[in-house]
Amino acid sequence: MNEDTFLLARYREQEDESALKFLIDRHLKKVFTFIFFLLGGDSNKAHEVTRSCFIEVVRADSPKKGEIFFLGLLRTALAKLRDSKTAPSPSSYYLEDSFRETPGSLRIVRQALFMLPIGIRAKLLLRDQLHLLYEDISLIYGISKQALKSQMRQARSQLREKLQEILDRSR
Amino acid sequence: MDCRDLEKCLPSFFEDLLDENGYQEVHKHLEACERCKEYADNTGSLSYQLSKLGETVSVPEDLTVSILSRLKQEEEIPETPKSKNPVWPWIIFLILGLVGVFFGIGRLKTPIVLEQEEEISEEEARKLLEKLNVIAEHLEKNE
Repeated sequence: MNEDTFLLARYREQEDESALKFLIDRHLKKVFTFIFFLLGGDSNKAHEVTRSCFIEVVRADSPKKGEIFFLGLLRTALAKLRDSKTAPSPSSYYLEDSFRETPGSLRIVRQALFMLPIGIRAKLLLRDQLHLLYEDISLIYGISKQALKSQMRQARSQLREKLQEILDRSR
Repeated sequence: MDCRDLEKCLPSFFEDLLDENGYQEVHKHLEACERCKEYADNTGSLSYQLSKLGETVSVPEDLTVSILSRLKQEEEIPETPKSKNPVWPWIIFLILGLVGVFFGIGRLKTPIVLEQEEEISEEEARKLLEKLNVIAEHLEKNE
């Protein structure tokens, strides 16, 4: 039994709210950030989706066999947002308050990231932002590690292309 | 992994060419060592920039409380358990039954109502009783 499973069991069996709070705080930043970028920087929507993901995974009677809590959260978020069409229009990129302090080079990366389809964006975030193992990402998607690595290469090259587009436009 | 090792690994790290152990070690070292982090920032690649981008986001302060209170609310209002035998066929059956009964009674009721509406006057009633008495007397005589 890992720590997350222990904390969740403690909450379910003994109604220990502090165990649940500890469990939520442990993963909140990563899950929220992941959803935030998937939603193109919509903070309010990210708040709502993050909350519903946690509630769904905490309340799940029978989590997927062998799945750890954190991966369950990410899988739930992906399932909720797979068909999301909430990516903002380019003009709204800079209106988001949360990004006002972002350094210039990162702004361009962010802009390029938001130009990618949500599926490709998700894979880049899982590996390069959340630093998940290829093994875990392939579990989330139910594909082989080899197939995932090849998709990651394509995703990175698409991100580079978008970056180049932005840089060319600004010249 | 020390800082020298990191410097050697960094290009491969940026291109995601390291094996899992190497990747995780570089990542841990960068989290712990401020100097190397600065070095990596300056020579950063796309992957590393994505990682840095995550640090620019702040989590809403009330999110944990919001999750906890919503969970509590949902526990107070327990979900109605889903029955294995769905209720809706019974409801339809009941409605159809009621409709049938309504029209059936309607048809049966109609003549009864009409009979009740045919009121007779006191005189007519008295005459009718007299007739009945005559018939009764007649029957008694015959016996």
